[in-house]
Amino acid sequence: MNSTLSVLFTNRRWRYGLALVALFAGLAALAHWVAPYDPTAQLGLSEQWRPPSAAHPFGTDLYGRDVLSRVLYGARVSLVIAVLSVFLSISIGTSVGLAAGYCGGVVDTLTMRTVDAALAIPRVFLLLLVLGLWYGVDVIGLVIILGVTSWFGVSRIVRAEVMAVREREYMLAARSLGVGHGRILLHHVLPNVLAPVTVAATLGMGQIILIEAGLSFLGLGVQEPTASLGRMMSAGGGELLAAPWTTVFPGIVVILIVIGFSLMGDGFRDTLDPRTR
Amino acid sequence: MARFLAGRLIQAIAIVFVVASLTFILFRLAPGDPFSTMSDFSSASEEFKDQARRNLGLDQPLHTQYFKYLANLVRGDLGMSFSEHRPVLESIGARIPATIVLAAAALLVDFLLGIFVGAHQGAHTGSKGDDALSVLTLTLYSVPVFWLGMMFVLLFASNVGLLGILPATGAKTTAMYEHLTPFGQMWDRIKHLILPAMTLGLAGAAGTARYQRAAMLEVIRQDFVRTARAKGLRERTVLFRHALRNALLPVITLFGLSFPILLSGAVLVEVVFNWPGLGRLVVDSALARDYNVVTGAAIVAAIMVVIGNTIADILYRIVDPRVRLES
Repeated sequence: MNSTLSVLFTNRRWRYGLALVALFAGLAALAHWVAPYDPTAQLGLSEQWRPPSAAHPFGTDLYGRDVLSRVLYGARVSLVIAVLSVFLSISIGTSVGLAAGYCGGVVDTLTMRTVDAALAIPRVFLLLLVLGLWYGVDVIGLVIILGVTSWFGVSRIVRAEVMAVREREYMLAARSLGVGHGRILLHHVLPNVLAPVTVAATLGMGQIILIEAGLSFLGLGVQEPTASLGRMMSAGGGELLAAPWTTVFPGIVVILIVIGFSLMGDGFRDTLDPRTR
Repeated sequence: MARFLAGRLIQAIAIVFVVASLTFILFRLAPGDPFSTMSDFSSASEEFKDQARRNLGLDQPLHTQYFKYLANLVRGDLGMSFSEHRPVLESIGARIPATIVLAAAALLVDFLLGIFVGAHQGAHTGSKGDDALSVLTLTLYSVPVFWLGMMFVLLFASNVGLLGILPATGAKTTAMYEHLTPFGQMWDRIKHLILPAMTLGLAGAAGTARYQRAAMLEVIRQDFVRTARAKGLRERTVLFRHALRNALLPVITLFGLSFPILLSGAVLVEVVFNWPGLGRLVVDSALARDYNVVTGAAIVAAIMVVIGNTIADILYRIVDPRVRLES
């Protein structure tokens, strides 16, 4: 494990990615102490739409709330949603992929055809369908919906890996020794899919942050007064011209976080997957 | 070719069937129905709601509803739109042309720019220009597409932006449009298309360029490129005639894969620019809980994706005669 880590640290992109992610995750985790104001505190009409200044580095919004504080708390909400829904989608995707690849036959055909069909629906259409039906969900509901609609790609990757290792000699050896299916899956198949799953999870973090931002922008994700980065940009939409800073700064933070995850994902792919080395 | 298309048609029908079943299950799993507490009908009397449910067949057993739903689907009947008071297919049909125009223009920007930038990078890896473009494409790849659109509005939109050049809302001028000459009308539509198409296209171009760069890098190391150079061909001929042509193949696969992403992005871009397409319709319908429209649009979008994939496969066949069409 230590050797993997040291190899990772020699990868420049992974290092930069980690630095970006760690910076924003740290700021988000410490938002309570770092943020200069309460993110929901409305500082009064006289403080409405103040341009960036020493007192408010990112300016203030429509209700006179400090944009920097809201960005910090918003990053926290966006990151927590991303971590939880990626965990959910990776768990479902890995289980389904393992089952489909290992069982083969009818199970494989049925699940993969369903996955094909689900992948044909553009993601935002699928999410609008679900969010339109479960209107006004809370953060936990959003996590579940995002997780449950994001596992299709992962299940395909895992299935392909499983198909590749299924016919190897050590699998035959394990089976002829009388090792049970559960143990084979856990000890012989799962380790092989960890690398591509790690890459997919890291890249998935960036994707989910972008999608959550899009949904909140459309008014179907995180609801006011909770600050999420997407919600803030949406509130900024109406005020785009009067107070561009309310939109610009949350956007830049989203970009930096997503760049961080993309770099880390590329780094993981370069180092963990020996075939591309 | 005919066999390939027939196979694709069967595949498309299978996908539509699964998508329709998925939407039906989702619809039934959701709490309440169009007439429960969260809807516009919440204050209607119980008698009214019961009557409305009976009219829509919502009082029937589930399997009856499911088969009826499928039978209607086969006839092209996606139900009625509650908010527009007309058949869903009509509502959707009215919006599809605008989305196709936007998506086509965006694809043009996406692939022209992406292929050019990526090929240039791949041919000059390690140079300062390559590094700078890598940072740029990585950044664009990570930008929320609606935010990019808003930044364009801020920079270029008429009356309000810093430069005030281009219109930022709708597909055409609302006032006076009828009085423009045919050429003027076309120019007006093109002007309205530029910002949304650039937004959607640039977001995609970043991904295409990253992909094209890798493909070019792969090809440029191969022997036939060295042979072409050794023959004394001009560098431009080597790059464009020999290397790029082969490096285009994986990018065509990407073309097929990019349709769902393109349509997803179109939803957000249409909202930012008030573009009268399918995406705006879906968002408005989801907010108004007009379920029939949202489910219908998901099915139509899936069909558009299948058509796009088929076009990509045919393109692949044209560019690379070695590839056999299989479905």
